[in-house]
Amino acid sequence: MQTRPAFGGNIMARIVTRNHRPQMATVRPRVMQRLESPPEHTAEIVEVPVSFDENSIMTKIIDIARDEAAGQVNLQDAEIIVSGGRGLKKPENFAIIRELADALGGVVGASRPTVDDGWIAPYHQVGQTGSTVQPRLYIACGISGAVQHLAGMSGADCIVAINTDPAAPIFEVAHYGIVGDVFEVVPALTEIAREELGSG
Amino acid sequence: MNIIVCIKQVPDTSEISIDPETNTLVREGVPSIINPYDENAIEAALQLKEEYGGTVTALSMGPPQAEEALRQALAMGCDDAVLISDRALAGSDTLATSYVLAEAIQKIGGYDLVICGKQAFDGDTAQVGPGIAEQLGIPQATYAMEVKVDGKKMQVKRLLAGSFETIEMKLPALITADKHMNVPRHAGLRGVMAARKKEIPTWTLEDIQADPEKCGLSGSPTTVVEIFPPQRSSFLTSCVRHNCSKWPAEFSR
Repeated sequence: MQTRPAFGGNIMARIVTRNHRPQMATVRPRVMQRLESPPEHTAEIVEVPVSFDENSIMTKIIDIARDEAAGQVNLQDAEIIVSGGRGLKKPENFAIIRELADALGGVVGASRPTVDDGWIAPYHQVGQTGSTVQPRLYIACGISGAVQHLAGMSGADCIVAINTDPAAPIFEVAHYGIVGDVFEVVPALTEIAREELGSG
Repeated sequence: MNIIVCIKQVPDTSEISIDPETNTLVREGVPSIINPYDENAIEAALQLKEEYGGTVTALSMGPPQAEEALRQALAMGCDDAVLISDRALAGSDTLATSYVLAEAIQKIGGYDLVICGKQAFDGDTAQVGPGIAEQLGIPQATYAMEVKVDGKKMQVKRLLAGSFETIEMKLPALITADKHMNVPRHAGLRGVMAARKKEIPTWTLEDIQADPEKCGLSGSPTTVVEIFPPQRSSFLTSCVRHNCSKWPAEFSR
């Protein structure tokens, strides 16, 4: 039995393979607790010789280039994440999210629709199909809170949600909710953060 | 270069609801669209055609109404479209689906490149594209960002987690298109009008000479037994710890 996300993480599906053996599954990062290896545990590593015809390899790697921007976004280990959603209205407005994240010493996250629409690079995506995160503070700005997003961030210690729609599902998981315009609230928070933390 | 693009018709929403009675997806009132990543695949095919000539054929497997998705692919600029539709296909998992599409691709024949979207918006498996390449025994490159064709070879830049990988492979080959590969064009009025007049043949399993044992339920090792909304397990505990849903005084100055 495997349980896996579908519909962009808005639905989970249980899948069984009744008659076929062997079977294979892949595991997403952070969905299970990492076990410490027992200190006295030993295991034998066996080397198995393989031989194959090089011509059977149909693709050749020409180049691997680091995506420099991606290296700077580490959502999974971040203590503070400031995330933006469709409520930002256009890609340029991620600037206010970046400013708040910088002022708090946090990392920029994003909802799936903004990534799908190319507003921001995919490695910023938080949610079932993006990164599952557990920061101390998660500030959701203009994110309505689709189930797949909530599944990726509701483990945060403290969630602050800013959204114009008081009925947005994000407020159901938020510890602190602000019903308001992100374009007013976020810059105001940035200003406070800069004053308090001297990070401006 | 002759290109075959595989597309899937999917429900137009990411806010899916589940009928608690039947434990199945609520499909009523949910319009259907071309899987968004498949639009990137179509766009990639059309751009390659513009550069190198040839034809673009859209291929889909699904119920009769999937013809609408193919009609839209024609409106975007594909030359031909083929639908594989057969009751015996119901219950096909990714293995059976890639088998059927590969058989149809062989029937179409004469292709240099197969392009799929990186994954379908509903199932999210990303298995059918690679599955087709395996069935056809051709090289594949998933998550394509950029492609360059050089005679009978092709270079593909792939978008990985935190890096880009460029690989080279011989044609015919298969690629799956990433969202960031291009911006799909809108079908113009002229395209829509022309698409209306085109024939879209519907092929059955017999037409593509597929082995019925490898299709539908009998060809599908996996079965979805249950669907449910994802849980927010850690929420309740953290909610209790933090005295939920209050705006702290220190923020409201």
